[in-house]
Amino acid sequence: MSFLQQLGDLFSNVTNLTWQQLVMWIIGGLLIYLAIKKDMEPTLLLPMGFGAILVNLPNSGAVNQWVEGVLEEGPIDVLFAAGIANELFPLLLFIGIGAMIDFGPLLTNPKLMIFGAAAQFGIFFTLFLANMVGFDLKDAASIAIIGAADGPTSIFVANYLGSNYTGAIMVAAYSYMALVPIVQPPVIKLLTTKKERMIRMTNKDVRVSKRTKILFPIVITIITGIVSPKSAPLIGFLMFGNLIRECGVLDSLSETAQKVLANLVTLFLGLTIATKMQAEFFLRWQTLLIIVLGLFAFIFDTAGGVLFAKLLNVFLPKDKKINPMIGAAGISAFPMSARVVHKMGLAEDNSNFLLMHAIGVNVSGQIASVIAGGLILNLIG
Amino acid sequence: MKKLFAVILTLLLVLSLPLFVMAEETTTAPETLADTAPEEVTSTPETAEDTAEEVTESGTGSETEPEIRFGFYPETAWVTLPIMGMGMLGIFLVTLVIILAVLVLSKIGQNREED
Repeated sequence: MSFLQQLGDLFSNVTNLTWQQLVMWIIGGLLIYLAIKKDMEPTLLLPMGFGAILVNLPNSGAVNQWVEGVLEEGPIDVLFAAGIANELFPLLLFIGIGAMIDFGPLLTNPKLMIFGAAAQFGIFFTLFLANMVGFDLKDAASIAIIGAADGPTSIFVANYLGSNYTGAIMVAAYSYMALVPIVQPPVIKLLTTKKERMIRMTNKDVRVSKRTKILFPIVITIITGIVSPKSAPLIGFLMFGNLIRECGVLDSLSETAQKVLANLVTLFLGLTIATKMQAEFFLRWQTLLIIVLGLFAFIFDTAGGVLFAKLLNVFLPKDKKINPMIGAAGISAFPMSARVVHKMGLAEDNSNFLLMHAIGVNVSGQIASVIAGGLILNLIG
Repeated sequence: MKKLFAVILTLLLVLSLPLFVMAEETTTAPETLADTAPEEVTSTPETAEDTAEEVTESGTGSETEPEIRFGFYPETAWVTLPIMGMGMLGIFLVTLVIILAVLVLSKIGQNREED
């Protein structure tokens, strides 16, 4: 065998490269660019982007390959089976998220929770739309849960329902979470008047006792677990994380959950989800439709929260009106959504501070989105 | 504000009655969908458990090209609207229970501090 022939054999895999894989490299590169240059959810978009390139190399050993009738397991597929197929990674991530959240603003004004519920409207409306355009009920529900604006919940539900589009759903969910500052303001402005956006809300000077903060995660777990048993793992892990934060005797564990655990799981989650970004699964026109439906979910979530606040204002006395913008913070994308509302409030009136109210609604959205995920599983799963 | 929440709670409970009746239909949603939607729509696994098994067995999930014909199927609204109603109602009811629980918790916490 001549030297040139040997050299040719060495690089023969190049001929296995398809144009679809090249497109996926570009998509992966775009995700990495958005993560680094635009700072859009970098902790997830960067591993996903790199993973997309890695799994789309011709005959990539990173994913399962059949070689002469024998299955050679790839590490990314092994990780997927170990951590996502059994819903373990999203749940572990929830412990970290729970440990990061301070429910104090919500506990000072629990009535704000109602906006978290209203802002889940987009999920159910998107389910309606997705089913109407032809997705089967389980795929429609998995797509709709993009509106939870909560990555782990989206992965959990999509995986539980055995969706055929997990990769596209994940990309849409995390991309829109990063795009909250772009998606929400026009919707809020469209649905509110300047006068409404300038409504001031009084800050309650209520001190929340430590006992309340400790009992809160336990009570929420029990209530939600009873009503929606399928959401028990989601809400349970989230609230367990919060309990170790608030109990005051597990500071070291709380810190580990917030930083080390959350970072490690995020690292694996982003890379592993890339197995669903192999060209043959991802490059379908349905992906485009899912991206559009995901946008609808975010828009109608925002609209649901804002319109519900406006509805409440009809009944409220003049001095107790609610700034309808805070309803938009109920979509769970924490804390971006609260920041967006706060900034919009300041833009209208630079002495109108809505942050505490918006944060309260935002954390309630986190709980409501998990409840919504559980209810979807109960109704459809 | 308290009156308003009482009104909302009552409204939700009243509205929930017909939806609970519809719930029976919702539990048979796949069958109803089969009657109303194109054949391809029903080509998914029978239950989530079946799907979960596939996922576990294959390791990477059942990412085969689904046989779905896309279009506009308004008749599916009969299946999804009750789910939508039940879902939103469910969220509001759970949230109201949580609000009440938190109000009670806050009261307990305050009383303890005063003591």
